[in-house]
Amino acid sequence: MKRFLRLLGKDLEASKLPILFNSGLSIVWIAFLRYRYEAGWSLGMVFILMTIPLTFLPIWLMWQTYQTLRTEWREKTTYTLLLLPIPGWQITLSKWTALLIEFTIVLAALVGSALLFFLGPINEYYGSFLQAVPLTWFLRNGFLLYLGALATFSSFIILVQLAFIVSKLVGRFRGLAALWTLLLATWLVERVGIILDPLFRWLPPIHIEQLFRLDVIAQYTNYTPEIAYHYSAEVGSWLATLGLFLLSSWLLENWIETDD
Amino acid sequence: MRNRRITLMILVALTILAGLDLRFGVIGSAEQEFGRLKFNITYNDNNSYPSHTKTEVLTMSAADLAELAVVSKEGMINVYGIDTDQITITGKITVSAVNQEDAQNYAEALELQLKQAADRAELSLLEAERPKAVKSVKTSYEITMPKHLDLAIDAEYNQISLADLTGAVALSAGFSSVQTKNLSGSVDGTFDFTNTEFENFGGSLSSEHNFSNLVLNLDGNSSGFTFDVEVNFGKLGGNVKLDQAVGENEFAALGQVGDGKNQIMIGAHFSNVDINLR
Repeated sequence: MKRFLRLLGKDLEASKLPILFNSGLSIVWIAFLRYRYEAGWSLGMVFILMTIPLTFLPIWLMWQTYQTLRTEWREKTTYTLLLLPIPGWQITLSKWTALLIEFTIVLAALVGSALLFFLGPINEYYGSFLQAVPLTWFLRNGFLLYLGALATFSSFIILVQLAFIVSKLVGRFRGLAALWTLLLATWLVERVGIILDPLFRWLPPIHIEQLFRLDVIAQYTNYTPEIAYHYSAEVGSWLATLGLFLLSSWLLENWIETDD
Repeated sequence: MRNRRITLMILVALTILAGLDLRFGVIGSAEQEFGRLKFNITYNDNNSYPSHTKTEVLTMSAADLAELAVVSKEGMINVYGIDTDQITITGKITVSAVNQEDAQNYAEALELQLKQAADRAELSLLEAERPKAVKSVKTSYEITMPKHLDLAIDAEYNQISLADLTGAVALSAGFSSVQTKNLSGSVDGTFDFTNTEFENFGGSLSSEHNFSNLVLNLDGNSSGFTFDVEVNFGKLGGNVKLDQAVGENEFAALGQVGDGKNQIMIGAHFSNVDINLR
């Protein structure tokens, strides 16, 4: 555990600058939008523009995943890293954890600054709605959406890690090989999900309306929504993604060539 | 060197497999298996205003009629086909208002109208401009009619139930739920935000579904069906084997069961379709 925490500390140290840069940029962007709102921009337009950093964040994270591994080769620390008595899965897991922490901090900076700068206008326009719906409902659903985003990014990170490691096993055209592997891995994960789907059909569906407590909103209407999510195919894909994580960790530990 | 060769061989093998799969659909369609969401939106009749219900019973001879049309903006419609030559309608008008007196006065002033024009009778609620004190007006129809008589329903915000009809049925429903049992004539329908379930269906169906789910349980004793189904942004399921062409967010399915006498033509957009043969 201590070894893993040290590795994580090293990876977070490397992520420090990107975290500061992205968080700072998000706060400046929200502050700019607040300034423009005061100058006459509509609240609706400002809210739409607020989501721009959210659209860049996944692309940035994919790039960061690639970069965290690439840096090890560029700075020639791979050889040292692989000589240490650390299993491959701890190396990939620490990078995976550091990236999710990076995502969490940047997201918190964005959401926190949005709430801070726009608390007044939100209360002014949606005050009655916010009084009717308890704060715990927003917190609970916000947290669930955050967990969903974490799960999605986790899969992305694992696939990009695999793509990078496989590209290092190929002699030439490594960028192309990484892209090729990423596409193949996406296809493979999806197809394994389809093949294993019948095995998990017995799993009960997730009732989205219960999970997200939609009854809190529905009580103000005459409608009761029921949304059942059948996820048997996704279970196979999650298992395949886990398998690819173990594969890339094993390849890193046993097959990779440290000299470029 | 050995590692490189093995890696390349695996990549090439996977690429060939992926190519075959994408070209010929060897492993099945992702759109069919992933993210299966089933929606069901129930309308609650639970407003908290004082209400008053007025009941009317209307009858009409069906001897000269070819079709009964029912128009309803909110409420419930139950239609039963029986061996009779008369249409009998038990209609309930429920008015909710800010106080009991307003509800009662307005409900008593309202009337159901069963009007005949040529060989068509139309049932509707006669309502002038609604006072502000009145919050809602709902109608509930219990209809018995000759089973061979054609039926046309134009409804929104309704729970519709049809049983034991052999004539043609034309249905236009929005924000409603529709359940039918033992229909053996033709059905022509348009459904928006409406869940529809046909139980023991033995006739021809031509329907369009938008943001709606359809469950079609076919009568196994029927001589046969021909299918032409198109689903955009939705799922197609059930136990009837159809020849499917999968496109971008789209399924087109054709097929035949038995002699194919009854035509099943379904267009579904942002809707799920389940077809089963019992």
